[in-house]
Amino acid sequence: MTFASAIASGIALGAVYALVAAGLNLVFGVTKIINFAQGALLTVALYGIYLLHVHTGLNPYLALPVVVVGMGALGYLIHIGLIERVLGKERVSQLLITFGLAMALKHVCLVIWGPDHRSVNVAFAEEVVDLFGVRITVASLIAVAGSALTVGFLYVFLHRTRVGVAIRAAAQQPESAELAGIDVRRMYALAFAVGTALAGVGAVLIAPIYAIQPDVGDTFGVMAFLVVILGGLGSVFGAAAAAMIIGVAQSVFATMVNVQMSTAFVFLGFIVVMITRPNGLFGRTARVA
Amino acid sequence: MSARVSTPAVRDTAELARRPTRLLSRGIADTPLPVAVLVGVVLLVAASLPLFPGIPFYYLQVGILIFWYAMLGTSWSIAGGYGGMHSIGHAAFVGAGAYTSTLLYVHYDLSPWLGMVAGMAVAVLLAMLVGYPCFRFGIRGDYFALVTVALGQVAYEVANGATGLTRGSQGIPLPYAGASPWEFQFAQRSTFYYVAMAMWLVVLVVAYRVRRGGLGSQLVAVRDDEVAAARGGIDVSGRKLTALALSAAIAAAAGTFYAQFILFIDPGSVFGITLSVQIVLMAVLGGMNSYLGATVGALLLVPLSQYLSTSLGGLPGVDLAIYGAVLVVLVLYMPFGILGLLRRSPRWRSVIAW
Repeated sequence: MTFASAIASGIALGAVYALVAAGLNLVFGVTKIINFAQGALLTVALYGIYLLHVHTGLNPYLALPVVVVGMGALGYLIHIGLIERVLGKERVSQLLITFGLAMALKHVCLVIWGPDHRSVNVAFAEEVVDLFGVRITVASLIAVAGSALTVGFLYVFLHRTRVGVAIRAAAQQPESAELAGIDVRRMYALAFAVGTALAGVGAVLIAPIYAIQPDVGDTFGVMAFLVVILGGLGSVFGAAAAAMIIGVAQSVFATMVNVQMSTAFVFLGFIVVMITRPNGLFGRTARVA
Repeated sequence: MSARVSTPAVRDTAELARRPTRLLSRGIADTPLPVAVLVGVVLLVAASLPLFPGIPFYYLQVGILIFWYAMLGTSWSIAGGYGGMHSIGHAAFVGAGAYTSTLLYVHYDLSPWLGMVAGMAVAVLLAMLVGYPCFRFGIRGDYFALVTVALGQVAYEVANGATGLTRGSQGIPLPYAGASPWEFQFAQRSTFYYVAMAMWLVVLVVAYRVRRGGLGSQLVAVRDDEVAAARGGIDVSGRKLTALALSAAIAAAAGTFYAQFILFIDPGSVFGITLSVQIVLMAVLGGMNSYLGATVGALLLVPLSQYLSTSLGGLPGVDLAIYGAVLVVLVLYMPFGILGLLRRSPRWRSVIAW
């Protein structure tokens, strides 16, 4: 029975990884920037939700539109102000700028709110339901459903809307896209904004589950990388599958073997896969570096 | 003699005057005399700092930290600056050095000096273990950086999780053995200042020699164009592995020094990703292509961070928030670092071995 619960909580964990990774994947796929700040942006969004909750008593799930718009705007500004200016420069600059941003954002949160754990309590989300003998919280169910819906929406957005297709065109053939009348710079900024907004959605889904503190985004941010690289660059569903594998592997390892070592286990697995299957678990990806 | 046809001395002076750069630079021998004198004086003052009567130990401690971070940043420059291997997990090597020597010292009473050598061996082994498959299978650029991030995390989590060996997050206090230099403990704490300074100087000389020697030129060739370097007959993965191992060994030695100086280690202080980023920052701020870059970076950042964390009354995180902001501004406005400003002048370029 514990095994089944471990898998269930692994799926819930994987769902959130998938969501954070989707944002990373989009930015990586479009602008070829590794956004190390994705985890820190998740933290920022969580504190935003916390502030809304404390000051207006808003339920985090209802805060979704505010958070998505706010994070999207923040992402747009970050892209215009910082990322765009290093796009044609050395890879080191591109690598370090988001790293510096992550460090600054996280520690600004630490300076403002301190290291204390804060929580956003939602009464109904904490109830436990019995699903075919597996006990799981409502919040975890919402996280899985919300993540699946969002990833589905993202897929439809990228493939079935004009803006989405333009973003993909800018990613694949910037020069041709420019010739076809697409404002490539704006598409890049838009992709970054959508990626940041996805971190906002992830924050809404985990706000009732995790204690909010400055480090909270770190794990998710780093795990999102592993997901993107294992799942294959630019592949929305490959990343989702990889997220599930990582979430379940981590959760099962934590339950069955050792909680402390579960993260180390995942990273070690990542290094091995990275070296033995450099194209990702499912192959078919293009190396950019 | 005839082999060096392009030695400037054999060309006629008219052509020499037109030549924008000399082919053979003389390295630090090119330093202008006033600057050399100034640097000599500064070094002398730095060396005699502990002799000033009544100097608070706090200042010496800041000095030790400057030497320590400069040492680490320089080690990073050998792999990251010369070889283009941007490691964001260098703390793994620092921690490997600190934990190896400390565990050997605490459990087997082995002298930390020998433990330092053992720690360097462990770090080299770790570097080989990660580096060999990476370079063999062409993991480079961003992907190598990501692997090192993962390496740093694995090392941190293992140190945190293997509580039987490392006591996990509780950390390991080192016993104070009194004044016994063989145990890396001294009658006066200011002796650590000299030890740090000596280690820093050795690392600086090593980095300079590497850059001026064959390994450095080959590394730069590999960094700038791996395929061309391979076509030119350079053993690409061998050179990269050598540089990474050297870098790891220096970082491990610095780790042992930290353990002996602070007399307490825990995963957060020697394995944390914050340390990894600080190491990168030292090198990037100063200019990671030069052996001197990390020293310049540490001279600026360590006092700044010490000042901020004391003057702002223990607001945790202020220094790191500013570090992050400095990194962002730096990348935007000064991507080659402070010493990078000198790179256009042939003479200075030779001095800083850009």
